[in-house]
Amino acid sequence: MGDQGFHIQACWDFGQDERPPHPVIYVQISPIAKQSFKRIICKVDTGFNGVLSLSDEVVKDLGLKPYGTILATTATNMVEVPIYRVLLTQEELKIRMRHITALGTRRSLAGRMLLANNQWLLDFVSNKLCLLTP
Amino acid sequence: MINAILTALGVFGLRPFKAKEFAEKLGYSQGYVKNLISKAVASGDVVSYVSADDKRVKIYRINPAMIKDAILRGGKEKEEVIESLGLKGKHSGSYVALLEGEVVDYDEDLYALSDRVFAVHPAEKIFVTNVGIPRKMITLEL
Repeated sequence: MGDQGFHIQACWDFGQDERPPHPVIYVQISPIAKQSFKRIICKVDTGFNGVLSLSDEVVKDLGLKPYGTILATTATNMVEVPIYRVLLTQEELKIRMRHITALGTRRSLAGRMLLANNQWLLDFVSNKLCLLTP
Repeated sequence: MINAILTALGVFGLRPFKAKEFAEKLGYSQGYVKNLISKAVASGDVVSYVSADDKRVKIYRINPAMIKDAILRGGKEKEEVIESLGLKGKHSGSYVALLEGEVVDYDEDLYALSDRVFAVHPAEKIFVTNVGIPRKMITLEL
């Protein structure tokens, strides 16, 4: 138990693939009708009000087919993005093979709907994103 | 996509039609319509079959796959198909779920709609899109 009355359940090191390093979360994605899965690293985007988005590479690797396209708005413009139905597993968040809608974007992102109802710690001393438990 | 086929989609929807009806409704000559339809059949936008009542008469129908393909391509083609399906008035600002080109459900929340339709309809046949600017827009910061 820490001084603030919370307990650190799990931490993920910041992604180092771009500067500055950024918070990330690991998830596992499976296509609906296949046994395959892929563990992916999603950049945490607190401006994303959805659950998850998948990069072109992930979509290709898992052989996902879009079930539609939707209009989404970014910081600079509106873009049309494909949508996919996938199974999401994230053990620390106690999510197991949950059917979700994921957007197709340039890189994989974790949105606010994935982060919701949990407490998080952004540790800029150790460059970690941590999931807290009360 | 041929504009006249989009017009036909607006007039007939996914109901079957004859070349003569197409010509009459759209005010085209039958020769022009036959040429148009043969091109659309060749491209897969329209499917044809022989009438059960009269084997000399061909019946045509807009291929629902054309609607799905146009929506997946996005942009102008998607807008044209949505307009032709007459979705703009009733469903503007919403997301719609289409099955064989027909709206089976709609919602302002993409996630709620998707969860509902995938619970009751075959996943490979359902497709979802926005009509106009969604009232509950998905935002991305990046």
